[in-house]
Amino acid sequence: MIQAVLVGLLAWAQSSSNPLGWWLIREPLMAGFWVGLIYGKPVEGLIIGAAINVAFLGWNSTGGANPSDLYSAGLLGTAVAIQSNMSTEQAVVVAVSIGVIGNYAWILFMSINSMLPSIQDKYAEKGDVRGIMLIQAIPSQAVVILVRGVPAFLAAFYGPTVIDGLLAAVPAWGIAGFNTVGKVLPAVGVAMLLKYMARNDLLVFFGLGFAVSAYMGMNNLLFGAFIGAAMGYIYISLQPKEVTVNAREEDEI
Amino acid sequence: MAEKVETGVALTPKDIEMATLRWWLMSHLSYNYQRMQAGGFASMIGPIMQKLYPDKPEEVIAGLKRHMMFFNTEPRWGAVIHGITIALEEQKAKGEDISEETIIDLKSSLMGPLAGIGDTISGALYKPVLLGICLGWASTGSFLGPLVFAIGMLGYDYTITRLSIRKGYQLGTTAVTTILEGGLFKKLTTFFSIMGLFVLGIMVCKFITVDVALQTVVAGKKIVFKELFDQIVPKALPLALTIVSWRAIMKGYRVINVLLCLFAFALIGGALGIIK
Repeated sequence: MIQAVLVGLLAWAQSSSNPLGWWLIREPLMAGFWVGLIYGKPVEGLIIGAAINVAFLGWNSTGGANPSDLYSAGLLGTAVAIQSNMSTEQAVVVAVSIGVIGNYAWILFMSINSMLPSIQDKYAEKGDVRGIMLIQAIPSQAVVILVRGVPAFLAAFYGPTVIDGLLAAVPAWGIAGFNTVGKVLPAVGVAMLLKYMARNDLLVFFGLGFAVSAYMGMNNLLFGAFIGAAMGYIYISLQPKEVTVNAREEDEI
Repeated sequence: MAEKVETGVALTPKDIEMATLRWWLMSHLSYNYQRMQAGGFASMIGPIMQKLYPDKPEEVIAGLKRHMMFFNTEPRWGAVIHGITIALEEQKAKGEDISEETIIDLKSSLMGPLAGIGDTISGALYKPVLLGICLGWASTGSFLGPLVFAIGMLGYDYTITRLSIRKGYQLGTTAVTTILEGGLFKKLTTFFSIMGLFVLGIMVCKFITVDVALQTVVAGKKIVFKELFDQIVPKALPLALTIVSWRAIMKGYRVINVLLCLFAFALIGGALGIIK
């Protein structure tokens, strides 16, 4: 029981989304060591964690879309494997499948948090910096406890059976719905940027960027920035010279 | 040059250090689909705005709203943007003619490219190499593995973040002065608008990954709607969602309501198998 509570707390700290969690606990190599420590087998935990980590060697989070969840795979994979005395090979198989389920914790975290910027907007309207910071730091930790800490405690306490049960409890259409939410919500952020950046005389460049990306499947933003910069340069070069002369004269007055 | 009103408020190195620390610890705390790291950016720059405008609360409010915009970059290398932004805000507070749009355009056009660079260096080069070395130790049961990894990553993370902000601040301070004296500012604003809007067009396809999932069978022939759409305008759905949200916000609908509508649309559409 106490060990399961500790695993739950470890899962919370691991997913608290700051550098201490990322580098001290996130990587299966690190998580395996801590879980091993909780169960009094640090060396075994470390070896299992390292084996799981090899499967996630190329894992890289960009823009919040991941194939499998690194957090739960290492932490819960090791917790389940140590308790059931699995071989490291078995542990890796279990860990990867846990990671697939664990992705929903990530999607939930990002989705529930999507309410927070709107609350921060209200504080911004009042110029309340402290309020923005509090909303930045506190509520999301409750979300982490809910979607990470509690499931980790249950998984450590009841073992692998509960993990299958958790997945079976959610209907397929519910999962499909939630998967879609994360793919749609960034539209709000892009729309807000567009509101501030759109100049009627330059809106064609937004369309151009979209067209290039949509028809050619090119979504490398660095390449896009180079092309955009080149177009910006050309556009400015083609402007009539008198504009800048006027600006200079005004400056000298 | 036009008459400048010197407010006399200058940032100290300590302000930059504290901003660095805030960003380092808070960047992802409320990470979310709606605006990614915006809250982290606002938390980073909030106290700076208060310091720059001790007796102009309306300017602090404008600044906070400006920095609650959608923001997403690699938190370490991308922090160059934070340094440049702090420098621009400082110059603006000192009375330089820097528009709000310039600051937003600059942030938006740089965040993607720097994320590309940062993700490659941090995620595809540094971390896998360090991890490979440490996994070698760990798999033999040596505690050197986790120890070296933790120190190596924490040290790298903080050092690069701090360096990026400092360099960006220096660059912003010197570059802004040079540009303003050369009367280039109007040109540069247009330049960044074009670059920013072009990149934003690509972001529609990159970040909004929803697609049409509807299929139907007519007279024994399967019709996949996605294929039909793709032949006319691929990614039409992300574009439509963006335009509709944009027009709604422009018409004065509150962002939270737009968000809730999209949330419901996605949940129901996904559950019914119309979109995926």
